[in-house]
This record gives sequence, structure tokens and C-alpha cells, in this order.
Amino acid sequence: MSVDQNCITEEEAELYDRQIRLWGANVQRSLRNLKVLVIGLNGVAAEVCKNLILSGVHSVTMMDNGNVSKEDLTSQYLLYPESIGQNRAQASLKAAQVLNPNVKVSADTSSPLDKPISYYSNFDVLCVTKQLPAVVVCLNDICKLYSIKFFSGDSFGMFGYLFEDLPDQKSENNELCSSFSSALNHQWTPKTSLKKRKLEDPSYLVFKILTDFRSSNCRDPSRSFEENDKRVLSDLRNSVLKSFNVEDDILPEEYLENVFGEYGPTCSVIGGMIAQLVVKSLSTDSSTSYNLHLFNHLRCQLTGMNFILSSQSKDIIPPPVEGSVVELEE
Amino acid sequence: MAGVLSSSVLSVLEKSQILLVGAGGIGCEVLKCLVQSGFKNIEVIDMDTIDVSNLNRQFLFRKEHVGKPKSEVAKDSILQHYPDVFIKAHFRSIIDSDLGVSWFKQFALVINALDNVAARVHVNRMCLAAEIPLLESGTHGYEGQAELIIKGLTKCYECEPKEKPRTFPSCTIRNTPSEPIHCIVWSKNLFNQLFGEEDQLGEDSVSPDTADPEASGGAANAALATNAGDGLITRKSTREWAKECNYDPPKLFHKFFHEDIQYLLSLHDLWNKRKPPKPLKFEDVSALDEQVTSNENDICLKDQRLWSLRENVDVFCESLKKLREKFISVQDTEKFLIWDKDDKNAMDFVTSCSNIRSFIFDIARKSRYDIKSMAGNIIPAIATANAMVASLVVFQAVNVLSGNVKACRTVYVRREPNHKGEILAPERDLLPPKPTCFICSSNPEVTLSVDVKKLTLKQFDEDVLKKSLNVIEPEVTLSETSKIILTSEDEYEDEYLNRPLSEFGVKEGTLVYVDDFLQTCKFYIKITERNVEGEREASLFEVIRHADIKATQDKDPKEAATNGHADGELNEDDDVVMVENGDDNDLQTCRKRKSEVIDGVPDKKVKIL
Repeated sequence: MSVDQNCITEEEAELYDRQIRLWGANVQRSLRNLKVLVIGLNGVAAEVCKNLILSGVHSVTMMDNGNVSKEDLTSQYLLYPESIGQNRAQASLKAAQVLNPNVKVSADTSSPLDKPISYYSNFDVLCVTKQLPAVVVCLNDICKLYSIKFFSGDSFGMFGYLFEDLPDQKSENNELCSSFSSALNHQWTPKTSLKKRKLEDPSYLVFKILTDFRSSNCRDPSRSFEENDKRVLSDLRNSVLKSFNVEDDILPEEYLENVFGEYGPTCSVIGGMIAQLVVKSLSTDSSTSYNLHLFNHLRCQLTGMNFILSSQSKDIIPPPVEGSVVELEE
Repeated sequence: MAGVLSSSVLSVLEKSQILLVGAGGIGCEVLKCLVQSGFKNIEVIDMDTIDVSNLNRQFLFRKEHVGKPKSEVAKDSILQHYPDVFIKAHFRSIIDSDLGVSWFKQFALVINALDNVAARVHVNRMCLAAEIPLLESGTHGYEGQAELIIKGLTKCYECEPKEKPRTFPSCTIRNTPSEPIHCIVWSKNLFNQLFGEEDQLGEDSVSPDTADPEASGGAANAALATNAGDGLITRKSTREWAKECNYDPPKLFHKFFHEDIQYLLSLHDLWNKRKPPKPLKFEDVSALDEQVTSNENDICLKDQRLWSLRENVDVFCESLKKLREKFISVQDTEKFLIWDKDDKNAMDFVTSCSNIRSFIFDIARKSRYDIKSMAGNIIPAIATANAMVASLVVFQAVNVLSGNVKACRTVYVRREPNHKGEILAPERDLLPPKPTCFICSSNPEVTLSVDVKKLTLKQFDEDVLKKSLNVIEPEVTLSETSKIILTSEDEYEDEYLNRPLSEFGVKEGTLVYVDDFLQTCKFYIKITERNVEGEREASLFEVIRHADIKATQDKDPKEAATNGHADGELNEDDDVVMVENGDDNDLQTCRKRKSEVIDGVPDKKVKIL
């Protein structure tokens, strides 16, 4: 592409003025070439789509094979009351496209597992929400293969998390690489400084409980099954506390009170931060110090942690499932 | 809406009447989050209309909405997605005598999503008076914050000193500019002299200032005597003179860039230590033309290229012609033009004038893009930071209304994580009111350092009370004598208003009592005298808030430690500051006080982003 074609037009300069003054014309040009795939069109994904479409990326492909439920409407702004029963990605198309006619917005009604691996090489950025943790791990690996920028995030009621894995991180140090599975399978030992931190913020335990819930139930906690789900969450809480060998009062019960469904304001935080990290990844001086960000909903605190997979364990942590986990940057 | 919150909390939210002040960047996001959380009764007020530059973040608006009222379009957009909520849209200013304390009292909670200090201050006072909880929010680029304000429990918006707008001495603007911003301010003043609202013009802020103390020696008087022809007579009637010569570009050029500069040169004392300006003749411009090298990297944006002198002069002529046509076309209606950074011709005019003046004074010239930032005081704004701040506001709104005020904290959105890895960093506790606050404390008092022999009652009313202290309808009483010297209801003769404060008995130590009827806000002003005679850069007055004194004298270590340090340790990384989503109106002109600021537009309205 010649330089001229890649120039920012008068119209774009006017439309994107307030952000170009923040991140500069070069980042804006990179944004305009950015092809984004968003998987799972729930509340968090809708916010990611909204923010990136507004910012002027090249294209956003919205992929979801599920249908709109009444509950979806409470947190997913791109839907309308008449969307109930329609495919989630299709139903989101209209509201997503009008946000910015310059961006190519499309819907795909297939499941991510139906796609050949090579399909993903068409994108620069992948953002995954509402998928089983095993699927997220798998998509994370595919992104590593093609050097695609990988993000995932969810709202479990008021609680939320987001995960980031940029391909550049690996090249800086071949021994270490970030991965969602290391964040997911972190082992608790008294030696990790995480133990110190959790005295202040039990968010990692909440993350663990809720991703475990999703893995074993193939759905998220819901007010529709409130009685049952509260019991399951309570059991999970006990087993997580036990496996991490920490006291009961580390994780007050109230942390698990409002973790049902998806919550609009939490989607705004998680989707806002993911979109911001996508933009940040385009600037030349971007450096990532954390890959997992946990939103403590009782304090409105979004805290970063770093989970890195190492081929040679440098720490004396007993190796968990695959590879050993060390925690840096604490 | 079912799903997340418990039914008992939901039933409270459904019944609560919420006032959202501002339907801009944060306002759009707040509205969405409120509705998604289960709020059903919302009134949204905004006096602004939609601009193209809003569309990168104000997601409830689209291109076809440009020019329409923000509050109404925001309401319609939300209702398409959530038809069973009740939203009332007001297309008007929140600063309004009709919207008094009793009007505010109908709400369970007020949310500020504003872009200017004046309106924030006003809502702060109204909510304190009405005893309604207020959620205050703001963003600036990547950063932002959300905080709760409850009378007696937390800091109010005015407990902390606000960054003061940068002001420039009139002499610097009119006689001795040395930075690009001085030329930009001068150019905006010129725009107002030529096309602005005449009632608001005040004194000339463009022509050479003969009262410059540095030029008051023999040379200046001699210059006055010899140059009285164009120096004194024309400065009284720049507008009339421009009209008479039909806004002819070469004639205007000659006056502002040659005659006036020649006159300045004749004030020899000014140039003893400064580099003298070079008067520029219209017909010499072509000969002086030069190639301007620009930053090649960002050549993509046309506005970022520097213009040559010739280009500036061409743009000056062209924009002047267009502005003249527009000015004539509004003579039957508004009768004047308002400078607007988004108006092409107005912006072209200021860019070219500013660069031509910079050329004359040998100051670095700037691109149109940069001049727009400075002249319009543009604050960068992005969707993501607004979305996060809005969400923090609504989290706190739910806490307040469900009786969980104790869980509320001021939360900061940071550009980079702090030492604990926090991108969203809450304070440790609610921040208590400041006992020195002149608004919410039990001993409300500010100090005014003022030249009582120079500052007139009118200037005291407009510049001190209304512009600096943000009161709306003041009644002013001298404590000692209980003499009322000013009320907002009475009309006064100019003769009365133009008397200096000293003639009313105001002197060192006088306590002036101010009572604002709209804001039901009362405080004392303690007078200390200053003498500005012969001081070139001194302003006639300075408002000193007692919180300011405290902040500069001792940095409260407790305050520094409150930002999320559970362990109580201090860390220098953790210096989150209050940020404002400011706008043009933060920089209001104080025309009468020998001091010019960036935004010289007589702007009566208060915009809401």
C-alpha cells in the first residue's frame, strides 16, 4: 500500500480528532489496518466491538453460534428487544455497524471450533468471551502460532477479568511466554508472593471459582438457578480455599453474592480495558507488565497480575499441570 | 431487569429518580450503564448539540445527528434498545434560576458528567444545599476518576483547589508577545474586536497598550504625541473603522501588521531588552516568502503542515472575506459571530493572524492543528476511558441507593498500573470534608487580595464573584456596617458600579459577606490590600482559598497515603491526581482585569461535553 493511500483523510481527521490528539496519527493509521475477530457476542464482547468500531479499526468480525436470550439484553447494548431468539452475532450487526460506517462489520454464526486453524490467520486481533476455559486455552495457542494478539475477558455478574497475550512478549525472551492456561492453573504455594497480595485482594480466588464453575457446568452462575448455583459456588469456594491452603476469612462470602449473569457496568470496565489494550499494543513503546487483570467488584479495583509459562523452572514451585508456573513482577 | 442485582436492590433502583447532568462522553456511557443496572427513571440535561468530533466516543450519536441536542438524541437512542425505561431530556443549561434547590430535591441522586468547572461547581453547591448525594466524574485522555460527594461525609468538589486557567498580562498580549500562545490569544481577541458581541467587548485588547508601565517614560509620551492619529483614535473604534473600510483585507493587514507594529516600535523602552518586531507590509509578503520545512512523519494530516508566510497571508485574506460575508448575513439576527474552533473560517483566521504576528515578533510559528489545540483548549477524549469512568460512577450509584455508602470510594482510572498493578485504583477510604473549604465547611471564608482603589464594584461582581467564585445571584453585604452594596435583583447606574471598592469603605481587613440566592451558598470574603500601581504584570486581584494556602504550606502526608495503600506505605508511583474533563469555558476571559486568557470569547453558555 502506498503512503498516499494510507494517509488519514480530512474526514477521518475530523471524526477521530480527539483521539488522534492523544495517540497520534501513526497509531490511528495502524488502527485503520487492524482486522479484529470477536468470539462470543455477550456484554463484554459488545463493549469491545463498540469501542474498537468507534476508534476506527479496519474490520470487526463478530462470531457467535448462540441465540439471544432475554437475559442477554440487560448487558449487551447492541441488541434490541426484538432480537430475542435470533442469532447473537447477526442480531448485533445493525447497531454495531451504525457506530461507524467506515469500519467493515460482519457477523459469523459458526462456532470457533468449526473453523480450520488457518482461518484465524486472517486476523490481527482475537478477542474471546463466554467460552469454556479449555476453548480459550486452545484459541490462545492458535494465536501464538500465527502471532495474533490475543485477548479474553468475561463478566461473571459484577466480577470480571481480562487476559492479554501479545505475540511480541515471547520474542523478547524465548524461555518465557504468557498463556491463559498458566493463569488458569496457577498453583498456590507459600513461596509465591501472590499469597501476600491475596490478603488484600481475593480476586484471584474468585476468578478460580468462577472459571471452575464454568468448566464443570458448561454455563455461568445464573439467578434462574440461584439456589442450586449458590450451593455449587459455596462448595467450589471451600475446595479452592482448601487447595490453596488459605484461611476461610480470606474470601468473604459477599464476593460471591453478585456473580450471576452479566452486569452492564462490569462489561464496560472489561470491554473498555480490552479495547484500550488493543490500541496500546499498536504504539511502538507499548510494554506489558501484566497479562491477567482482575476486577474486584466490591472495591472497583482492577489489578494486574502476571502469569508466565517457563520451560525451565527457575522457582522451586512444584510443577503444576503443564509446564511450571512462575510468577514474575510482583 | 433481572439477572445480576438482588430483587430488593432492584426495587429501590426502579423507584429512584436520577438526574444526569451532561450527555456527552461520560454521560452517554452512564446512561447506558444506569439502564442496564435497572434504573428506570432518569432525567438527563445538556445544553449542547452534537458535533462530528463527538462521534469517536459518544456512541449514542451518529453522523445524521450532528447539530441536534445531545440530551434528546441520547434519550431516543437508549429507548430503541430499552423501551421500558422513562427518560426525560432537557435541552438547556443546568445553571438556571428556574432549576433551584427545590428542583434538585426531587432526585435521589445527581450524577455529574460535565466538561467544565463552572457547571461542576454549581451542581456541587446545589447538591450540598439540597442535601442530595452527588457523583462527580471526569476524564482526560486515558485518565479519569469517579467520586462521591455527600454533605458532611465527604469532600465536596471545591474542597480541593482547582488548577487555575493560565492568564497573560494584557501588555504581553498587546505589546510584547514572546510565545505562540500570546499571538493566538491576540488573534482571538482580534476576531472578537471585528466580529464579536459588541456589549461584551470591554476595552480594546488588540491595539498597542499605551498604559504599559514599561512604556510610560518620555519615549512613550513622545510617541503618543506624534502618533496620536492612528494610535489613539482608531483604538476606540476598531469595529467601526473595519466596517468603514469594508473589512478590506489589505487595509486591515496594513493596520494590524504594519501601523500598529510601527507604533509599538516607537515605544523605545519596550525594546531595550527585547528583540524589536518587524512591521510587515502587505505588498512585501511575496518577496519575503520562504519554504517551510515540516515534520515529514505526520505530513498525512494536512493541518499538521506548517504554512509559509505567503500561505498564511492568503488564508488571512480568504477567511476574512468569508467571515465578513457571514457577519453581514447575521446582522438581522444575532448581529455578531461567536468564535468557535470548529468553524473553519474562524479557525483559519486565528491560525493565519497568529502566524503572521509570530513572524513579525520572530516567534515560532505553529500548524493549524496545534493552534486549534491551544486556541480551543482541546482535551483529548476516548471511548474506553469514558466507559470505565461511567461504569465506576454507576457502581457507586448502586451502592449509595442500596444503603451501602460506606463501600463507595473515589476511584481513579490510570494510564499505567501503579506499583500494586492497579489500573483502576480506589482510595482506601471515603475522603472527609476539608475544614478550610469555603463552601462546605462551617467557617466558609476566602481571602481576596485586591487593589481596592482600582477594582470597581462592577469588576468585583463580574470577575471576582461570578467568574472566580462561580456565584450566580449574589447579594453582597459589608459585615461591619451591615450595608448591602450589591444585590442581584436591583439595577444599578454605571456611575455606581464603576466606583472602586475603596469608595464603599472596603479596606484591609474588611469582611464582605456574600449570599447567593440560587445556590443558597453563603461565605465571607476577607480583604487584604495590594497595590498594583506601576506593576506591569500584576492583576488587580487574586482569590486565595484557604485550602490553597494549606496545600502549599504543608503537604498533608495523610492525604498522600490515602490512595489505595492498604499497607500504609508511601510510593511515589502513586501520584494519581484529580483530572478535569475541561473545555473552553474553563478558560474564561477576565477582560476587565488587565489580563487575557486563552479563550477570549464572551461565552454566556456553559457547555456540557
